[in-house]
Amino acid sequence: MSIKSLQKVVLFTVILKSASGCFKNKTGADNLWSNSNHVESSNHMNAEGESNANGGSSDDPIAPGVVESFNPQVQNAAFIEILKESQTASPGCEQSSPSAPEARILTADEYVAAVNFAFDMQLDGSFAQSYLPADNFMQGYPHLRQANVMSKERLSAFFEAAYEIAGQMGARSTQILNCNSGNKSQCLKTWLEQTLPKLWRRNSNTSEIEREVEHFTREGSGTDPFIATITRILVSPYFLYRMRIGEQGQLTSWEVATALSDALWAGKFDETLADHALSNRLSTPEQIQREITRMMQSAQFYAGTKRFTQSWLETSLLVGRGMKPNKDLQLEEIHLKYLAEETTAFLYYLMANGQTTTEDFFNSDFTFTHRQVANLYGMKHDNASSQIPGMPSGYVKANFNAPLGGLLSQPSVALSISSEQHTNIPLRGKKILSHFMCMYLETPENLADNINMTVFDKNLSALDALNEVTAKEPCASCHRTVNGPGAALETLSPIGRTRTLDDHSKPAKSDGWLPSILGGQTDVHGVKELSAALGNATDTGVCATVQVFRHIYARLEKKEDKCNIARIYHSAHDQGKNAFQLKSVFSAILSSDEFLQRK
Amino acid sequence: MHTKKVTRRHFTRYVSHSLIGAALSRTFIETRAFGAEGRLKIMLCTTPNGHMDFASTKSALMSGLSSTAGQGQALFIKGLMNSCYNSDWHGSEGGLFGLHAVKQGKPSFYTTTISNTEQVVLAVSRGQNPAYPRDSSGGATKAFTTPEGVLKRKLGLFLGGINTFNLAEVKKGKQHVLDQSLADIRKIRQQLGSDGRIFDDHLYALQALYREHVPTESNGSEQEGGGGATTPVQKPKAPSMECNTNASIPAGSDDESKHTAMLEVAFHLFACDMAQVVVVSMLDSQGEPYHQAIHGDSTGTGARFRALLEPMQQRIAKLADRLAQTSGNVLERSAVVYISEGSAHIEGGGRFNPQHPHAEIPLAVFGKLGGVIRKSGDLTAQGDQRRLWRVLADGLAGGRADLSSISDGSNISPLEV
Repeated sequence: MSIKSLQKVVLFTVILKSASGCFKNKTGADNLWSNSNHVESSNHMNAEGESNANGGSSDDPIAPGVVESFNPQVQNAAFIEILKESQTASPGCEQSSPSAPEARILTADEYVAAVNFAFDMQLDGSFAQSYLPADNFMQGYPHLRQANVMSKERLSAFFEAAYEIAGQMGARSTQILNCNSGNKSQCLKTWLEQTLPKLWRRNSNTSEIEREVEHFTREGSGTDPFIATITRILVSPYFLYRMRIGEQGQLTSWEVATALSDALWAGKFDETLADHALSNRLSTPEQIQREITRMMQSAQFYAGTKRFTQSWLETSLLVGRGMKPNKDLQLEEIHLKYLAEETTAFLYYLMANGQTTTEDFFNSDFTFTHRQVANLYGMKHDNASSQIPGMPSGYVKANFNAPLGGLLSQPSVALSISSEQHTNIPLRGKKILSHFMCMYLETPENLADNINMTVFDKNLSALDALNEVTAKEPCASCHRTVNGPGAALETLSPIGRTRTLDDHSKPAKSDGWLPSILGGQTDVHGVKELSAALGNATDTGVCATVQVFRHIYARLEKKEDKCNIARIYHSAHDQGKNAFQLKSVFSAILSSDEFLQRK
Repeated sequence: MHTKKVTRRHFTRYVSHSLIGAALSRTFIETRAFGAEGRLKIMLCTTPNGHMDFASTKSALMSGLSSTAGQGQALFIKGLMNSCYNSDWHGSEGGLFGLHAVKQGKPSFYTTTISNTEQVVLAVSRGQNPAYPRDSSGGATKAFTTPEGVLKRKLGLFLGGINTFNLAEVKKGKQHVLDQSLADIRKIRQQLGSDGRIFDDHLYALQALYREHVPTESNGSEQEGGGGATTPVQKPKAPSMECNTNASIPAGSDDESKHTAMLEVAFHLFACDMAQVVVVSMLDSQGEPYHQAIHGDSTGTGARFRALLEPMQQRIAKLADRLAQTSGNVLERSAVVYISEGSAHIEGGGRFNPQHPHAEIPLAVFGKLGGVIRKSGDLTAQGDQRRLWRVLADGLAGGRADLSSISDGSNISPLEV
């Protein structure tokens, strides 16, 4: 057996062995925390080689962590509270209160970005696919803490990824350990002092680095101990978890920098940001605001915009979606790839031009898409690709053809909310309500069977036939809500082109309505009016704030967040026009006292 | 269809170190010559949206079984329903392998019985995550969506698995490896306050991994399945003579080609005794064109669905047949399960039901799982698929498997197979 392989399995076993005897069960986990003597003095096993004779085998049964399910009722109730607070501020919300410390597991993309930056490597998506655990998506977001729980399978994958990276780094050990500034241990110390903060996103203290160097020296100061050191720092909780602790009552500059990186650059870092963090230059709202501005002007901001938009609208699902030949238009895989980034490019363009009021976002008469898609859909467009830094090449400003207009006219939006061959009015309504109004409707268990057993009158338009069969209970209570937005889009085909005949080959109607979770509705006719109604609704602005909240806080909103979110919503209004600015929500959250201050 | 050669370079680079692999393989082959049988293994193969009916499925599967050995180890189970059905099977994929009668993703039945490193998920998938297999927390599992990924990553990884020799190394005293993590975890947990419970999950996961890899002090040997309440002696890995880590894998970008390629990889994972649980999932219930093939049927015959389904069923049966024909009959110590979340579409009068019928799911088991499965031919049963999971979990554990951390499971009566 080679030394490397042996070390790998020994290391893995030793790590597990060491951990197993150190706590009893979840409720009894204090065994670990209270037995400081064990932790502090267990650098070596006893003569029998056992730190804990039980080895974990005699422990009481304990339960693994459990992934939470998304609960529409709970989220609706939370949003109602938030929306009411946003409309009428209550006295109890006048003072901001600090957030609690939080932690979550980092995503595969964040892992790759962090390793590439710290180790100057070029890992890509194929590494994540091969080695890293799968992110568990909830409502389109890959990083929500409710959905991502540490399991033995996930932890095992992290171990394996660490071994693989450490093995690759082993090839650089000669260069790193012969640095002309002393012996190998000294060289490792120097390297760790430079590298560890970038990897762990914190200023490592002397004892932590000395601990690693001591281990390295004790093992022989060669390539294999170097590989072991890399493995150790990659399975450290400081790396595997994103933490916002705020030990002194306020997030550290590293914690702020990491939050900015995740929210605005999809986890990527640069030397300037790292330098600010190292030098504690992200400790005041002014400093943070300046850095937010710099990062939003960077080409890397496209990655952050993409992460947010594709989570919010779930458009990443278009990639790899098989499309059957469509009588209307043949979409190839490459078109779907371009379409998956359409709303990202559009929002990025708006933000680069300072146009992110809800009116800009929802009422625009253009989209921003790839030239090939614009040609396919017959949209007039600029010939030249955008010159905005970070914008992918080939993306152009393309004008909607009348009578289209507004965000919902984007082909990618129609595609992502429709069935493949049919418009599916309720599905469209459901997705519009969840994405833009934070209103969640549960799909009845027997929905598909009921649909298949329902006779729709083909002599009526698809909309009239649907309204007819859903007019009575038990269908009516939900369909009164969910049919409205979808109805307004009936003149849009499943792939987002205008049409005159609907799925029943009858003249397409588009008389719909937009409901509010607080009651009441706005009648709309057609996609343009529906887009405009969304732009005018307070629900939409508050919901957009909630979506950014999820993106940054990495968790679902709760009732207790109502004051915080309402305050962010109001502070994101343009003072001159008193218009809600989506772009401002990012900076409003990231520089807010609630976010920066910790209990 | 052309083939893509997996080079030796791939193997030597990614497979836990070629010299070890070669040495261990040699040892295994030699061990096998002295009667080693390899470990108990199960393979779960899914196709979406059910089947035509029992007779059609049996016919399609039998047509893929050319050998007497394969035919003699085929059990066709009739009458079981999907425990997660509840009128509509869409969205129930995450619960299909679980022990709860709910649609939501729940831990797959083998997650506490079989070591994580002995599980491989192969998926023909287009979404964010293949939905069928779930980890011990009910979360999405890592899945290989290309055969190349498996070849790079998994073939041979298991050759470098933890063994008793390494345990001797552990006892020499190297606990320092984790010391800093435990100290750091303690510190972070205190700083996080109530949110520090996230590290309880971390520590639980560490301990669960430990239990899978390190034998108990009392018996000094790993358990057959890596867990469970009983402690049988672990059988050594024993590749069959057909084990070929340099195999040609069929290439192609369409779903059918990918399915063929994944089944080929699955064959070698079994033949090489490199995994104890392999899942081969073929899309999910909403994947097109399979979804539209049932709901879009207006002919009353389901001809399109049948044309899509039967080749998939035949491929799965052929794989089982190949395993039956391996030296030493790998299938004897395996169970290859074919199942779908959907049910029989052909109803009374022979008409195709394009909705979500729930008369019975397709379910066939090939192999004897080391004697756990004794019956072959047709078997009529009642209840749901969890009865089979109970049997397989117990079989892998070598006794009554402890499933308490992922479900009660105690009220599920094992299927008489």
